[in-house]
Amino acid sequence: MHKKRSFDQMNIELINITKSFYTPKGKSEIFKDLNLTISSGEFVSILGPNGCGKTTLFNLIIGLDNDYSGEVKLDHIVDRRTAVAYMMQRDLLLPWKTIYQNIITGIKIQGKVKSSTMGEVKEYMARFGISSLINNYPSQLSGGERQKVALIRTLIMDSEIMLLDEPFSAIDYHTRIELQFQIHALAKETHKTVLLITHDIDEAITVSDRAIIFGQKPNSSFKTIDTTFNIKERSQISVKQDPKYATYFTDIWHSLPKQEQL
Amino acid sequence: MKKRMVNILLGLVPLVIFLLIWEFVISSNSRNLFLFSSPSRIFDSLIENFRNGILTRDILATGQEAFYGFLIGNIVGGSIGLALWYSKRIASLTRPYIIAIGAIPIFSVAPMMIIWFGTGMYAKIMMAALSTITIAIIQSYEGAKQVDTQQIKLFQSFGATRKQIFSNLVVPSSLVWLFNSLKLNISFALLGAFIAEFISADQGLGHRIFKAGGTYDVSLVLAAVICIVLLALAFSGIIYLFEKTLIKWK
Repeated sequence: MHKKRSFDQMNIELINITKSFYTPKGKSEIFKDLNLTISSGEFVSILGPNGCGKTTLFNLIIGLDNDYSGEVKLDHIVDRRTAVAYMMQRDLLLPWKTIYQNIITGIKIQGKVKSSTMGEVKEYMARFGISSLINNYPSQLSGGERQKVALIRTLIMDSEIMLLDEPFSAIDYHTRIELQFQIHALAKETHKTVLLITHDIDEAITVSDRAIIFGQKPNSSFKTIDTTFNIKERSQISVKQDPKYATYFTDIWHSLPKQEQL
Repeated sequence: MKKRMVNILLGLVPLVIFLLIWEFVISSNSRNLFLFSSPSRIFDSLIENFRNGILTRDILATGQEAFYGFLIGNIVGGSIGLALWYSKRIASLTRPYIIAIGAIPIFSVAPMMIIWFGTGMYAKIMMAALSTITIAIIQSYEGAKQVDTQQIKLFQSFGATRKQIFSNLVVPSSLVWLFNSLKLNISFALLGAFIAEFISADQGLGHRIFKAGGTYDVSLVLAAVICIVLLALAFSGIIYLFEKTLIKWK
């Protein structure tokens, strides 16, 4: 178990979670009495081999999967559907809607579109350098631009918790670096709780406060590696220059199950 | 642009050669002329029957019957197909029935339609509707089923209700499939109307062909066939324009 951190407010708590899938081959257990606590405002990366239950964990938190035993507690949260925003590896933009309409899809469903929404969208688009694309259709955008739009769609929901399922894995290197720092900065500015699934150790160290590493299923516990830095402003260079970077990298590397390292 | 013109002209070459052979080789003796008619006679027949208003009236009749049948068949069929998305169970229960209905030769129900709806326009519209409905159901259900499961998951994460997912995601993403069904159904709607006219009618292209065939007027038969083709092309053109305005994001 990880030790209690400086974040005082507890936000997500999973208590004694046991979760199985039923396949034609029989029952396959993913989690067995798993306990996990994420504090409010914490940025946590989740690593582990394929099929270890990372995405399942997200489905439990957001409430898309209710077939488990144990308890998922979200503190101070009345309405789970507006409190948690989810972003996936694929941008999943709707081809028949313009970029603006795509960005507001989620808040429109939730009935949260306000007169100030247009301004907010423009602000985010300017921040990510894609202001000129507001009236375009997704087919006219590059992969990186589309993922930026998907990220803005997630951010505009202004949810307390953001679940990011490998959102940067399919985009080009430069856009990825840019988005990693933007997401880190935004999360800290707005005091969001972020969970990020990734296979990229560098990404985990660069953006998060803590990395948790699952082993092969079934998982009843996980390893925790603290990835904090005493740097004022994180950047691709400043993080790598810090001697802690190499230590964190080695620690995470050795915590991953053997086959995941290769 | 110039290249396109050249391509269109090149495409016409086989047709022109075919028509020339037909006109001057095949139809050079009176026996063949009686059996096959000739392009010039067909053209004369077209002009004559447009002048006296017979073909104009027939085109309007068949066009209207096919159009209303097409509308009814596609709207009803499309709605049923999309609605089946709501329940996998109902979809799988009704599937064999839909396939069975689709397998009935439309010709065989024509006498019944005429008994039920009379020899007027309604029977023809019903025939056109019946011959389009199965394809509309199957295509729209397929379209609804093809919706990306990840996309649905994203909508669920927004907290969307099933109704919201249906109207915001399933219907628009099935549009491409719906248009495929519309395109396929043009010829089926015409066929339905045509068959009903063939059996019992006092106007329409099916009726005209039946009558002209009875009097060995091959020229008029083929003139009416050309009219059907023109009708189908006109319908296709309308749907093409409709699709272009509706699916402008492509």
